[in-house]
Amino acid sequence: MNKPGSDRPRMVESRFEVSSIPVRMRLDELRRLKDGWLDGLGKAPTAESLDWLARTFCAQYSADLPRPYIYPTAEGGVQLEWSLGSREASLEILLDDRSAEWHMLDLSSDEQEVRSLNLDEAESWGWLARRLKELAGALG
Amino acid sequence: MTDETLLLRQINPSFVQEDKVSSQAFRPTPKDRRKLSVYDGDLITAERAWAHFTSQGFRSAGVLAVAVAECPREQRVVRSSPEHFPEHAEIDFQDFTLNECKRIAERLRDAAKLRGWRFQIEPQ
Repeated sequence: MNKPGSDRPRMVESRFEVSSIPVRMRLDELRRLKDGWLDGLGKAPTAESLDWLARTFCAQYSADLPRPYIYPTAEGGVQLEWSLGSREASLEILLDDRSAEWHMLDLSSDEQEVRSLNLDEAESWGWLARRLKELAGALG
Repeated sequence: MTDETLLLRQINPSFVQEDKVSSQAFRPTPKDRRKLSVYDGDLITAERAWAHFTSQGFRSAGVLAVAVAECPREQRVVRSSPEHFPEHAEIDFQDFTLNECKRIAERLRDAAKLRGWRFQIEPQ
Protein backbone atom coordinates (compact mmCIF):
# COMPACT_ATOMS: atom_id res chain seq x y z
CA MET A 1 0.00 0.00 0.00
CA ASN A 2 1.34 3.41 -0.81
CA LYS A 3 1.54 6.11 1.81
CA PRO A 4 -1.29 8.56 1.28
CA GLY A 5 -0.37 12.17 1.54
CA SER A 6 3.36 11.42 1.72
CA ASP A 7 4.01 14.07 -0.93
CA ARG A 8 2.08 16.69 0.98
CA PRO A 9 3.09 18.58 4.11
CA ARG A 10 1.29 17.30 7.19
CA MET A 11 -0.37 20.00 9.26
CA VAL A 12 0.94 19.99 12.80
CA GLU A 13 -1.40 21.97 15.00
CA SER A 14 -0.36 20.59 18.36
CA ARG A 15 1.76 17.87 19.92
CA PHE A 16 -1.21 15.59 19.79
CA GLU A 17 -4.92 15.86 19.22
CA VAL A 18 -7.10 15.45 22.27
CA SER A 19 -10.80 15.74 22.83
CA SER A 20 -12.05 18.66 24.89
CA ILE A 21 -15.36 16.95 25.74
CA PRO A 22 -15.36 15.35 29.21
CA VAL A 23 -15.63 11.57 29.04
CA ARG A 24 -18.85 11.37 31.05
CA MET A 25 -20.52 13.90 28.77
CA ARG A 26 -19.53 11.96 25.65
CA LEU A 27 -20.69 8.65 27.17
CA ASP A 28 -24.01 10.34 27.97
CA GLU A 29 -24.33 11.20 24.26
CA LEU A 30 -23.93 7.50 23.46
CA ARG A 31 -26.83 6.67 25.80
CA ARG A 32 -29.16 8.31 23.29
CA LEU A 33 -28.29 5.80 20.56
CA LYS A 34 -30.96 3.30 19.54
CA ASP A 35 -30.49 -0.11 17.96
CA GLY A 36 -30.09 0.39 14.22
CA TRP A 37 -28.05 3.61 14.61
CA LEU A 38 -25.54 2.45 11.96
CA ASP A 39 -27.37 2.21 8.66
CA GLY A 40 -30.11 0.20 10.33
CA LEU A 41 -27.83 -2.41 11.88
CA GLY A 42 -25.70 -0.93 14.69
CA LYS A 43 -26.38 -2.23 18.20
CA ALA A 44 -26.70 0.46 20.89
CA PRO A 45 -24.60 0.09 24.06
CA THR A 46 -26.71 -0.62 27.13
CA ALA A 47 -27.13 1.95 29.91
CA GLU A 48 -25.68 -0.51 32.44
CA SER A 49 -22.55 -1.11 30.39
CA LEU A 50 -22.02 2.63 29.91
CA ASP A 51 -22.48 3.14 33.67
CA TRP A 52 -19.74 0.58 34.29
CA LEU A 53 -17.42 2.16 31.73
CA ALA A 54 -17.93 5.69 33.09
CA ARG A 55 -17.35 4.52 36.67
CA THR A 56 -14.30 2.43 35.81
CA PHE A 57 -12.79 5.02 33.51
CA CYS A 58 -13.04 7.74 36.16
CA ALA A 59 -11.48 5.43 38.75
CA GLN A 60 -8.68 4.03 36.60
CA TYR A 61 -7.78 6.66 34.01
CA SER A 62 -5.58 9.45 35.27
CA ALA A 63 -6.56 13.02 34.41
CA ASP A 64 -3.03 13.76 33.16
CA LEU A 65 -3.37 11.25 30.31
CA PRO A 66 -4.49 12.42 26.88
CA ARG A 67 -8.29 12.43 26.78
CA PRO A 68 -9.57 10.01 24.16
CA TYR A 69 -12.12 10.52 21.45
CA ILE A 70 -15.02 8.12 22.08
CA TYR A 71 -17.20 6.39 19.51
CA PRO A 72 -19.77 3.60 19.55
CA THR A 73 -19.03 0.38 17.71
CA ALA A 74 -21.43 -1.52 15.48
CA GLU A 75 -21.45 -4.41 17.97
CA GLY A 76 -22.73 -2.35 20.93
CA GLY A 77 -19.31 -1.53 22.34
CA VAL A 78 -17.21 1.60 22.57
CA GLN A 79 -13.98 2.54 20.84
CA LEU A 80 -11.51 5.01 22.35
CA GLU A 81 -9.09 6.70 19.95
CA TRP A 82 -6.00 8.87 20.38
CA SER A 83 -3.94 10.74 17.78
CA LEU A 84 -0.42 10.99 19.16
CA GLY A 85 1.77 12.60 16.52
CA SER A 86 2.22 10.07 13.75
CA ARG A 87 0.69 7.33 15.92
CA GLU A 88 -2.98 6.46 15.78
CA ALA A 89 -4.09 4.35 18.73
CA SER A 90 -7.43 2.77 19.48
CA LEU A 91 -8.96 0.65 22.23
CA GLU A 92 -11.98 -1.33 21.07
CA ILE A 93 -14.00 -2.24 24.17
CA LEU A 94 -16.42 -5.16 24.18
CA LEU A 95 -18.77 -4.12 26.95
CA ASP A 96 -20.38 -7.57 27.23
CA ASP A 97 -17.27 -9.18 28.70
CA ARG A 98 -15.23 -6.03 29.45
CA SER A 99 -12.38 -7.13 27.22
CA ALA A 100 -10.59 -4.74 24.92
CA GLU A 101 -8.29 -4.79 21.92
CA TRP A 102 -5.50 -2.21 21.74
CA HIS A 103 -4.28 -1.28 18.28
CA MET A 104 -1.60 1.26 17.46
CA LEU A 105 -0.31 2.17 14.02
CA ASP A 106 2.64 4.46 13.37
CA LEU A 107 1.71 6.12 10.09
CA SER A 108 5.32 7.10 9.39
CA SER A 109 6.83 3.61 9.76
CA ASP A 110 3.80 1.33 9.32
CA GLU A 111 4.73 -0.30 12.65
CA GLN A 112 1.72 -1.89 14.36
CA GLU A 113 1.14 -2.89 17.96
CA VAL A 114 -1.74 -5.03 19.18
CA ARG A 115 -2.64 -6.26 22.67
CA SER A 116 -5.64 -7.83 24.36
CA LEU A 117 -6.71 -6.35 27.70
CA ASN A 118 -9.16 -7.26 30.46
CA LEU A 119 -10.63 -4.02 31.75
CA ASP A 120 -11.80 -5.68 34.96
CA GLU A 121 -8.12 -5.86 35.92
CA ALA A 122 -6.25 -2.83 37.25
CA GLU A 123 -3.12 -4.23 35.59
CA SER A 124 -4.63 -3.63 32.16
CA TRP A 125 -5.45 -0.01 32.99
CA GLY A 126 -1.91 0.38 34.32
CA TRP A 127 -0.46 -0.93 31.07
CA LEU A 128 -2.68 1.43 29.08
CA ALA A 129 -1.60 4.43 31.17
CA ARG A 130 2.09 3.58 30.82
CA ARG A 131 1.81 3.07 27.07
CA LEU A 132 -0.09 6.33 26.51
CA LYS A 133 2.46 8.22 28.62
CA GLU A 134 5.28 6.72 26.56
CA LEU A 135 3.61 7.64 23.29
CA ALA A 136 2.67 11.16 24.43
CA GLY A 137 6.06 11.68 26.07
CA ALA A 138 7.88 10.70 22.90
CA LEU A 139 6.37 13.78 21.26
CA GLY A 140 8.43 16.01 23.54
CA MET B 1 -12.15 4.38 -12.77
CA THR B 2 -8.48 5.47 -12.52
CA ASP B 3 -5.92 5.77 -9.73
CA GLU B 4 -7.04 9.38 -9.28
CA THR B 5 -10.73 8.54 -8.96
CA LEU B 6 -12.10 9.66 -5.61
CA LEU B 7 -14.12 7.12 -3.67
CA LEU B 8 -16.77 8.93 -1.65
CA ARG B 9 -17.57 7.54 1.79
CA GLN B 10 -20.60 8.52 3.87
CA ILE B 11 -19.69 9.26 7.50
CA ASN B 12 -22.17 8.27 10.20
CA PRO B 13 -22.69 11.18 12.68
CA SER B 14 -21.81 8.92 15.63
CA PHE B 15 -18.35 8.43 14.10
CA VAL B 16 -17.62 12.15 14.39
CA GLN B 17 -16.56 13.86 17.61
CA GLU B 18 -15.41 17.49 17.42
CA ASP B 19 -14.71 17.05 13.67
CA LYS B 20 -12.46 14.06 14.41
CA VAL B 21 -13.62 11.03 12.45
CA SER B 22 -13.26 7.51 13.82
CA SER B 23 -11.19 5.06 11.80
CA GLN B 24 -14.25 2.79 12.04
CA ALA B 25 -15.80 4.94 9.31
CA PHE B 26 -13.35 3.27 6.92
CA ARG B 27 -13.93 -0.31 8.02
CA PRO B 28 -16.83 -2.33 6.63
CA THR B 29 -19.91 -2.37 8.84
CA PRO B 30 -22.05 -5.51 9.30
CA LYS B 31 -24.23 -4.18 6.49
CA ASP B 32 -21.20 -4.00 4.19
CA ARG B 33 -20.30 -7.73 4.56
CA ARG B 34 -16.54 -7.02 4.60
CA LYS B 35 -16.91 -4.71 1.61
CA LEU B 36 -16.72 -0.98 2.24
CA SER B 37 -19.43 0.76 0.25
CA VAL B 38 -18.42 3.95 -1.51
CA TYR B 39 -19.63 6.11 -4.37
CA ASP B 40 -17.55 6.44 -7.55
CA GLY B 41 -16.55 10.09 -7.59
CA ASP B 42 -16.16 10.02 -11.38
CA LEU B 43 -19.90 9.40 -11.66
CA ILE B 44 -21.47 11.47 -8.89
CA THR B 45 -20.65 14.54 -6.81
CA ALA B 46 -20.21 14.34 -3.06
CA GLU B 47 -23.35 16.39 -2.43
CA ARG B 48 -25.48 14.26 -4.73
CA ALA B 49 -24.05 11.10 -3.16
CA TRP B 50 -25.02 12.42 0.28
CA ALA B 51 -28.54 13.21 -0.96
CA HIS B 52 -28.87 9.72 -2.47
CA PHE B 53 -27.67 8.03 0.72
CA THR B 54 -29.83 10.00 3.14
CA SER B 55 -32.90 9.64 0.89
CA GLN B 56 -32.81 5.93 1.79
CA GLY B 57 -33.29 6.77 5.46
CA PHE B 58 -29.60 6.48 6.42
CA ARG B 59 -27.78 9.16 8.43
CA SER B 60 -24.63 10.90 7.20
CA ALA B 61 -22.70 13.81 8.67
CA GLY B 62 -21.02 14.34 5.32
CA VAL B 63 -18.72 12.82 2.76
CA LEU B 64 -15.00 12.10 2.93
CA ALA B 65 -12.95 10.69 0.06
CA VAL B 66 -9.94 8.55 -0.69
CA ALA B 67 -8.33 8.05 -4.07
CA VAL B 68 -8.17 4.61 -5.65
CA ALA B 69 -4.36 4.87 -5.47
CA GLU B 70 -4.55 5.23 -1.69
CA CYS B 71 -6.26 1.85 -1.31
CA PRO B 72 -4.31 -1.38 -0.80
CA ARG B 73 -2.37 -2.30 -3.93
CA GLU B 74 -1.61 -5.93 -3.06
CA GLN B 75 -4.78 -7.20 -4.65
CA ARG B 76 -7.37 -5.59 -6.84
CA VAL B 77 -9.63 -4.52 -3.99
CA VAL B 78 -11.45 -1.55 -5.53
CA ARG B 79 -14.17 -2.28 -8.03
CA SER B 80 -17.36 -0.86 -9.43
CA SER B 81 -20.45 -2.70 -8.24
CA PRO B 82 -23.31 -1.17 -10.24
CA GLU B 83 -25.65 -4.03 -9.34
CA HIS B 84 -26.57 -1.94 -6.26
CA PHE B 85 -26.95 1.36 -8.18
CA PRO B 86 -24.92 2.83 -11.05
CA GLU B 87 -22.49 4.91 -8.96
CA HIS B 88 -21.83 2.23 -6.34
CA ALA B 89 -18.31 0.91 -5.80
CA GLU B 90 -16.65 -1.08 -3.05
CA ILE B 91 -13.33 -1.63 -1.34
CA ASP B 92 -13.01 -5.34 -0.64
CA PHE B 93 -11.58 -6.24 2.80
CA GLN B 94 -12.28 -9.98 2.54
CA ASP B 95 -8.66 -11.06 2.09
CA PHE B 96 -7.35 -9.16 5.10
CA THR B 97 -7.07 -10.13 8.76
CA LEU B 98 -8.79 -8.00 11.40
CA ASN B 99 -5.55 -6.20 12.28
CA GLU B 100 -4.78 -5.61 8.61
CA CYS B 101 -8.28 -4.15 8.24
CA LYS B 102 -7.57 -1.81 11.15
CA ARG B 103 -4.27 -0.71 9.57
CA ILE B 104 -5.93 -0.09 6.22
CA ALA B 105 -8.76 1.84 7.88
CA GLU B 106 -6.28 4.08 9.72
CA ARG B 107 -4.47 4.78 6.45
CA LEU B 108 -7.68 5.55 4.59
CA ARG B 109 -8.94 7.79 7.40
CA ASP B 110 -5.61 9.66 7.38
CA ALA B 111 -5.74 10.17 3.62
CA ALA B 112 -9.36 11.34 3.80
CA LYS B 113 -8.60 13.69 6.69
CA LEU B 114 -5.74 15.33 4.78
CA ARG B 115 -8.04 15.80 1.78
CA GLY B 116 -10.81 17.29 3.93
CA TRP B 117 -14.59 17.03 3.79
CA ARG B 118 -15.94 16.85 0.23
CA PHE B 119 -19.39 17.68 1.57
CA GLN B 120 -20.59 18.33 5.08
CA ILE B 121 -24.03 19.25 6.32
CA GLU B 122 -22.58 21.51 9.01
CA PRO B 123 -19.26 21.64 10.85
CA GLN B 124 -19.34 19.51 13.98
